[in-house]
Amino acid sequence: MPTPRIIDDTYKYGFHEPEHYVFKSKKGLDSGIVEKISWYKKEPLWMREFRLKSLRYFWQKPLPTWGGDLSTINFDDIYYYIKPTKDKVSSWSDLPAEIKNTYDKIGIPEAEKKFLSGVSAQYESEVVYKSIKQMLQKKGVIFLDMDSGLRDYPDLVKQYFGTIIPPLDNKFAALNSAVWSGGSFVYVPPGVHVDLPLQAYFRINAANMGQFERTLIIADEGSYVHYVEGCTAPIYTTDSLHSAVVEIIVKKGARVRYTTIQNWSTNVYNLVTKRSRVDEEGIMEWVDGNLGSKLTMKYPSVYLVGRKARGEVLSIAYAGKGQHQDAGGKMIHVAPETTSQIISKSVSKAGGRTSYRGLVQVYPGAKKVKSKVVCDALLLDEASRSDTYPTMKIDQQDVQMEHEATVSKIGDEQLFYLESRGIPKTLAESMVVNGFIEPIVKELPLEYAVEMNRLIQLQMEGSVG
Amino acid sequence: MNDMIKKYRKTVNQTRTIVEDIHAGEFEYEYVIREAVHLTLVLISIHTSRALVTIRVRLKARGASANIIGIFFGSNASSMKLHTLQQHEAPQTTSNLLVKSVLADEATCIYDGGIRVEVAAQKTDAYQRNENLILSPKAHAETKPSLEILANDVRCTHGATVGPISGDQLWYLATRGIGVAHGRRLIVEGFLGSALARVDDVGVRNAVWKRVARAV
Repeated sequence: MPTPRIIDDTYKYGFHEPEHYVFKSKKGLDSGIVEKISWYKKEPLWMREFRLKSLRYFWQKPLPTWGGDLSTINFDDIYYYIKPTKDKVSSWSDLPAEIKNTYDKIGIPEAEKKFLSGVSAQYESEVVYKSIKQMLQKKGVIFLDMDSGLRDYPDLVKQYFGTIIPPLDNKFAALNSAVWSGGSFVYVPPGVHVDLPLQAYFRINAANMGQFERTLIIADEGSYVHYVEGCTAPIYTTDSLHSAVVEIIVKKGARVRYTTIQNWSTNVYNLVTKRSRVDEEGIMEWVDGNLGSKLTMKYPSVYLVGRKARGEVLSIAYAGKGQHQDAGGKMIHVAPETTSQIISKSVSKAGGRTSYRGLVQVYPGAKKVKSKVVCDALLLDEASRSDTYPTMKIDQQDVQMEHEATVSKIGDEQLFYLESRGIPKTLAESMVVNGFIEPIVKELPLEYAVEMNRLIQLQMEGSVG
Repeated sequence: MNDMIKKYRKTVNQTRTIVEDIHAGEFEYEYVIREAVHLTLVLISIHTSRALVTIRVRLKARGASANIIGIFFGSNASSMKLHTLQQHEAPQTTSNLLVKSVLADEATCIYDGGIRVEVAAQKTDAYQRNENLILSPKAHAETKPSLEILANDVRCTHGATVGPISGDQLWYLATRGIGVAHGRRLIVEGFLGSALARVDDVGVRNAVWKRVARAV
């Protein structure tokens, strides 16, 4: 009986639209390019100096020696800024045909028809399409791309920009701070509850094009917002770099959920710094799905600085042929009675490698802290690898801290049981895998949950357990 | 003298129980376990001022198994840095590690444990658990259990906990007429005793237990 073909090596969204750019910086990075980006965006002086200072930090900082293999990134072979179309457009029909075509293929119009409250679609480095429904404006919610945010709300941006993740934090945060472009700026006023998730789509569409988006979310006291970042990227033969910075401020009693489904094509380095600061009784939830990219290094962090603040990370990683997903989460307990939970599920197949890397730290004086970390990994064949590197640093007596991790393959009994009910082996395997990641998938917005299950199905076809 | 690393390498050819007393200083122990041999390894350290210990257990041949039990009781400024590695090099090997520490005063325990399962070591079972009971606000625990799995037909689990004596437990004992000081002692004894219960050799178990009870 012929077995279905393994789908991994053909990227589902691997199409490539012709490039029409208004401005494209030359390859490589120097202070001239950084100044040009800033000039082109007509930025205030402080931002230009911030960029130049960050560039110096980027040159000073060494590459991390842990995690994945970063030695093959050639920083001189990357375009750091591309401006695709002249102006921003406010309605779908005004978008250039090939950009619209790109979005049609990843299904944005359908998504748009559903209950999206606003779409901020990032094509190349600049946000070209944006629609915010009346409701958001009425509530006083600001949902802009970062460049517009800086232009329209300079004081608010200056107050918070780079305060959660300073440029000196790490080499890639410094790089992003120097050349950032696009991303989202969200401000939710006190007490405002945004019922529908805010969504942004990101795409890379030029060979060797780095994507350095910068997102800043401020949830004022007692507010709630769910932000969804979905990524799909076309495939290229040369390596691409994606290095984002996401800063989130959760004020007293506010709650923010940030959902990411990362599905970069398998030649992209995805090196992202995500961090949030949570005040008293605030809640921060990161839902982080990593399916694509060549190497992902991403550890969403929560700094619990106010009493009774809570942090959660739900993480799914899938690594197929040639992929390394080095993901996890960090919980820093600074204030008393803070609680946190990290749940990580990973699947490795066809020689892929998944690593969980995490930190739970409790500072002196942070009494009655509770923290729980659970990591489960599935290994689907002999060639794959799974690692778990958790760290727990506790400087306080009155703390309840737990960590559990399990690595295993799909149970023979489970497969035998399903096969005895007439279910073919490949289907049985994908059923087990979908069941394994179910606790996280059910936290996703509906259309993402459907897409996630479909992707897993696709990846699993023809695999041998 | 204390600055020198003392190294011991032992090949385990027959099923046996080994008790290692950890004193102040820097030590490296390596145990190589042969085919179908079972090793029970008991590490014990009571009021040790400063120790840095590396334990490597290599399951070198088919059917080898190891049961590793660590018992640490730290007081004053004692500090224990323990690194363990459960290295599965052959198929059908089993290892089971449990390290428990009780930290009073300003005692510190830094545990860094690894399980590595090589490609050849299919049908491996590996367990690792580190529990820390913190008795004083100035005690400090760090725990870093890690897994590196290169084979797929395996079952590996690790876990770690850090916490104080539960107020509920003390309250329960108090309702039975047991005072706080006595209650705390019972809880510490129970905490360490459950680890010792894993030692099959009754003679060894009783001997180690006597020392633990005296320290508590």
